[in-house]
Amino acid sequence: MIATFAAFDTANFVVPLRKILPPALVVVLAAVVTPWPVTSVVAGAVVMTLLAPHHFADDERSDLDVLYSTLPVDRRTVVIGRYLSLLLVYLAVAALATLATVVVSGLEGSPVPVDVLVPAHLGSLIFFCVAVAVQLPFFFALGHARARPMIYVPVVVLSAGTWLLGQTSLFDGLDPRSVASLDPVPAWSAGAAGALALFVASAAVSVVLYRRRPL
Amino acid sequence: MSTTAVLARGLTHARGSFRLGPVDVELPTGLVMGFVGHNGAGKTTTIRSLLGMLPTAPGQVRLFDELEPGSAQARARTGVVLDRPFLAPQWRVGGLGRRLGRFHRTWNQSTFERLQNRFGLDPAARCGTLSRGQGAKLALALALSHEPELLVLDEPTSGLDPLARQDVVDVLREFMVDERHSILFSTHITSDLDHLADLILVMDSGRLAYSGSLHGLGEEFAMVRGTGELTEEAGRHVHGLRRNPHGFEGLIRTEATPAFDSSVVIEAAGTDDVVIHLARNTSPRAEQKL
Amino acid sequence: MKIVLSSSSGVPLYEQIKTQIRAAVYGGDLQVGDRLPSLRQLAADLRVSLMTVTRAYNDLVADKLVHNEHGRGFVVLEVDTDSARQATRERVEAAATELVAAARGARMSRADVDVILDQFWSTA
Repeated sequence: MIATFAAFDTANFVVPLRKILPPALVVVLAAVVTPWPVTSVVAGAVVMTLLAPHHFADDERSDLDVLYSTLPVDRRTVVIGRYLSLLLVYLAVAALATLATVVVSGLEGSPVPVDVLVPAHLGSLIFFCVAVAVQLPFFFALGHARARPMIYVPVVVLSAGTWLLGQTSLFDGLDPRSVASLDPVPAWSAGAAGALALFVASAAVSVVLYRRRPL
Repeated sequence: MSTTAVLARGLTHARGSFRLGPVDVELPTGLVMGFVGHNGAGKTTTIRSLLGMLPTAPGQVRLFDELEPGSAQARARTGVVLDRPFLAPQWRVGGLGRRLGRFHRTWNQSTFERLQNRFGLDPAARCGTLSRGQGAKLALALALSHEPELLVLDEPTSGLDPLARQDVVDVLREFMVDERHSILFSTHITSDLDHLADLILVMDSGRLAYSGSLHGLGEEFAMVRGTGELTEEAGRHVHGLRRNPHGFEGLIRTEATPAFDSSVVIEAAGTDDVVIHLARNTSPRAEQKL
Repeated sequence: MKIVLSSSSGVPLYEQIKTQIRAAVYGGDLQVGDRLPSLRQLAADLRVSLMTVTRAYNDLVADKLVHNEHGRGFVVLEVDTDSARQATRERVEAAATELVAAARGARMSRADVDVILDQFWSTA
């Protein structure tokens, strides 16, 4: 059933196509307009992070949470299906961004920047996963209208936390040069793995919260 | 086949200052139960709790003898029609079979098409363009197309013109010809009940004022009308007392008849009388001067 | 057997159903051994609740007019012809009482009533 719901949710997300066209356009334009075509990958992540709450807003407007509660799928399936559909659309956007990067680079006559492309994808994935992992539990618990103002809380907490961590001795021993000499790909990969783990943990939390949500 | 379609004991819910319950609901399989009450009496809250949309304590509600509300199996056997549509406005009527049918093991596409036809729904129409009546009929068509045993409807006919109302009620009657089927519906249009409901639940400010057969309602309650004075003792028994220059009227329980003398007229109360007069007060002493 | 219900007559629906089924049996429209429509089908056809039909049928069983046969449904029992004749005669007498009262109220003479009766007797 999870696959059925994920497919259903993805279709709702991208159809009618005019919903997904402006974001797709932004991703393509980023490759064309900026000096580095690989920017489209980053643009893709930003765009998806903005689209995710929009999907919840659309659901709420049409009372689709109520629809889901009349279908023979339990709330856990809805949550997992939603996380999957967001990930699927992200991957599609990332593929589009890659295509745009390759094509524009080719048109410009410059080589495809593979060494930047990989970290760019990994970095974007981290950004998307963390942003979505932090926001979605709020949407599942409260619905879009009530959760939206609350989204700023995790952003503030994250920023403050990072600053506080910086104030402690945690990073004192870090020598910028030794950091720069690190092979970036394993570092980004570790980060991406961590972000995906956070994504999954967020889904688990959302399941618990959505189960308790009164409709 | 289950014996009891819906069983709830001590159902309660709190939201803000509104308190529901404790409410008991028992709908044996094969019967039709109507919920009536003024707006805000708790009908929708009760229905949503029975469907598992609002949280309930485990064991407080049992559907089909043993299923928890909100479980996938309970939902598969229940068709739901609510007072507001829950479809995306851009979806087309005809496409809903494919879009939603894939979730139901028992989806019958030919039933869906037959009902669309019967209700005069255009398959190419987008859900957002349907009138209130068409939306209600579409919701009913969807609910029936996965062959449920229990239909739960929240105000299915409110806002519908008389023709649409009759179409809906006719379909409900046909649904009830099968003895394994049951219906639970809330309404504030009491004439819907008179020829369809076997059992009735009267709700008043979050509490149950009456639960039993529709026949029994007329036996349990009576309307009292008089021109003379109302004694203090008699007045205690009257719900929703209304006075006018010619006299007074109000609702009493039939067992309170001895408190009145022969100067009053006492006759059986209709469902409307019960709902209106219970709603007019929170205690038998409150009065309304016209 | 055709049943017509009135929602404004003041007579409870189940009572009307009972009366009309009884009349059908005594009048010969329903023979011994005939099956009554199923509870649910009659409820749907007459647009009444299941309990209304159930109550009517249960009363008819108590009156020994029908019998709930396992597997077949409600079946018409052997009717006592004397009481059947008596019942149908009572129906005619009741109708006659009403006719006389109505005619008196309209200040019609016996001759006027005969004219009307002739009219309806030939068309029925």
